[in-house]
Amino acid sequence: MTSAFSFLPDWPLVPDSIFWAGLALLCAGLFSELAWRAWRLPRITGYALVGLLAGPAGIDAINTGVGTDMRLALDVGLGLLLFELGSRLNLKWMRKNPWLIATSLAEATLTFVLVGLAMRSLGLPWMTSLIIASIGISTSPAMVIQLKLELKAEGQVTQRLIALTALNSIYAVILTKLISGWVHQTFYGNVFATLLEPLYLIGGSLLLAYGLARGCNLFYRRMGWQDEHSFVALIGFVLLAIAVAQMFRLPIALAMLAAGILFRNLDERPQLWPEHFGTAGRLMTVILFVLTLSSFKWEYLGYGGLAALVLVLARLIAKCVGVVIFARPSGISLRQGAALGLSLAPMSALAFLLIDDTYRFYPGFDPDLRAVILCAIALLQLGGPLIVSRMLGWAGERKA
Amino acid sequence: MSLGPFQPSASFTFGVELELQIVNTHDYDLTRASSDLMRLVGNKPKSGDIKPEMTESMIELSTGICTSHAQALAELRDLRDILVEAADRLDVGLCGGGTHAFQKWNERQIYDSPRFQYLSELYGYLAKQFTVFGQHVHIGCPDADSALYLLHAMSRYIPHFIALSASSPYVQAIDTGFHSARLNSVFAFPLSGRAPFVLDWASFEAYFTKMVATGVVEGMKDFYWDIRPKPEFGTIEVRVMDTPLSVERAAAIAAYIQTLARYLLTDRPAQPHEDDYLVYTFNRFEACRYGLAGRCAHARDSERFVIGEDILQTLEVLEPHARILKSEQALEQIRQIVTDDANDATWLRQINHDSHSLHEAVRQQCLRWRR
Repeated sequence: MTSAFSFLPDWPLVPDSIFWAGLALLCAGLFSELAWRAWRLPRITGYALVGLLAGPAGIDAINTGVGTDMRLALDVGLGLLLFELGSRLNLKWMRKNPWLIATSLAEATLTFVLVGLAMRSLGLPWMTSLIIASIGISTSPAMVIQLKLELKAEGQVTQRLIALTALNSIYAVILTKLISGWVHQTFYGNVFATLLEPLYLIGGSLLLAYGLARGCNLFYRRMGWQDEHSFVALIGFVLLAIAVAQMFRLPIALAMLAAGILFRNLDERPQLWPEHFGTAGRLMTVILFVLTLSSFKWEYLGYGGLAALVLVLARLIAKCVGVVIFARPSGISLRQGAALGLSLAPMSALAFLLIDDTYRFYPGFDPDLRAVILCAIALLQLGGPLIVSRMLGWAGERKA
Repeated sequence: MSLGPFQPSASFTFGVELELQIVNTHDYDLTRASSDLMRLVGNKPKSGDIKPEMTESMIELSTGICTSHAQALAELRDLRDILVEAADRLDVGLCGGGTHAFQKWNERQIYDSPRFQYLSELYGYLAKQFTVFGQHVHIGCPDADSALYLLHAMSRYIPHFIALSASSPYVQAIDTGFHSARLNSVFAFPLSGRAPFVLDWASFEAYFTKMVATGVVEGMKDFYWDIRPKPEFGTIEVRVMDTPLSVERAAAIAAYIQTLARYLLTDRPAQPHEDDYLVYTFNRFEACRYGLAGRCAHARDSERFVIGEDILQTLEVLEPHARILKSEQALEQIRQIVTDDANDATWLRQINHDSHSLHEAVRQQCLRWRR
């Protein structure tokens, strides 16, 4: 019915999603800044907290589940950060100091084995345990990059943290895909498809990564790197690559990380991304951290809480031991080794996307996986930044 | 603190110290790795020494006491190789150059030792801005009076050393127009400049004692002079050079100074005079600003000479001394720098001009340091 007063809003007022998004960002910005000033709490802890409170675990304002919109925002935000992380990995360094590769393999293998056994001993099925173990290998690339910038950290621990994170994220994506391949087998029972899947996913991502890296290299050569405006086009490049990855159902994380690495290593000349893609990139990062925890539910604690705690502890021990045994030969002190090992603790968006992928491809997968990983993410997104900032401080590498 | 006696040393022996930049390999800004490097090179057998410096972004290498260009070059190459190998393991770059091209001085941290904290307190932003990298050359002198004679006789050649070694055209990402902008940072300090004009050790000691009594200085290390005596080594120390971009050039410049010292001390071509210093800071400025093309003034007439041409003339005079000290090869390299008009500052400007990137220029500096 139309009335003379239809220009007035309907009652009660219904705030739309923009309202909630605005409120979430306002709170995220405000809380994190206040917490930083009052207690030197890293800002991303604040973002994570707001995500937790905004989601179903809090006031349930942002509850899209894992809707396509939210997934896209996560993909873009994480994609940009993964590219940046990759572009900081110097492969020549690995060749000159092979002990780094040893360190990386040691911490990843130990984590996989220890977490896998721990999950199994808690009574989780093998398949679930193995997927959790592969996801557990990865350190949160988003947190590492964000903390490096926020704390203005610089030095061997920071540099190695970036390198090891880039490497273990690659292992985690590939292993998760490989093991999902077995799941594929149990779901569809097609041996050929099982063999082809990881090949397609890995080969496809690398191909896409090569294309993106070459494109960006060429672009930088032609346009000159000091041009601030070239940045717009570069974001365009990255978004296009993400879209292509989606069209071909390729793991975006792997493609973007590999693209960053190739971009850095195909051309020795320093090609600098504006740190964090400037302000726009920073906003993407905040959204990334807020969204990651906004699908956490308290009920997960019931059946995943204990396992998550065990997962976090097993990871801490495995990563610390793996790094410390090769600390001296790789050229750092034991103290730096311990700081580095513990700094590898954070888990966040990448782990979330990996379980999300698993459920997308195999909707009937063991729900325990989500419960355990989300609890671990909640724990580490809140506590991880604190560990990392303490460790970088202990190693004397923080400036802020 | 007293000055202590002048320990005589063998004439025309020399030692070279180089302060190096430590940069990251991502954007080639200064980074912090000197303690890590020290840990890796600490117990390697080597002739010479490697020491930490005022900031974590700097490391210093120094040769032992050398008698010839060849020996200094060999020692410098050894030290360089040891350091480069360690730097590779840490993924950091090492390079020469008097300044870092684009580092922001407000982001530098002062080393956490009492002396450096004291200097930071005393000098304020000057201490942070003092993130500059120099080459020092010690020349052995048989006695204290010859040391003072050599110090003042050599002052006339200071523009040569500046122009030949200049490698700091950029500061804070800006082309300063200078060949050596580093010396401008040094010049800001109240106790920089030149030594007082005294030619016998007793007078020098008297000057030193008076200065200590004022409470302004505690020891020789508080003087930031262009050339200063170092009695405990029995040397004078020439400190105006930027760190060149390669050890080869550093060795050549050191040998040039050594040969010049022999010429000055054995031939005694001129008696130093206070009036020589009338044009000293002007000439020094010309060298910093225009490099080899700088036009210097004479103290006694209004004629000007071009630094590059003056170096070529000096090289002729030095020939017999070079034969005796076996520094001909080094002097040939010096001649090349002049005739090709190719000091390191010019080279750096060319690289930046071609690549439009100071980040790339620093990377090229690192590559040049390695070979």
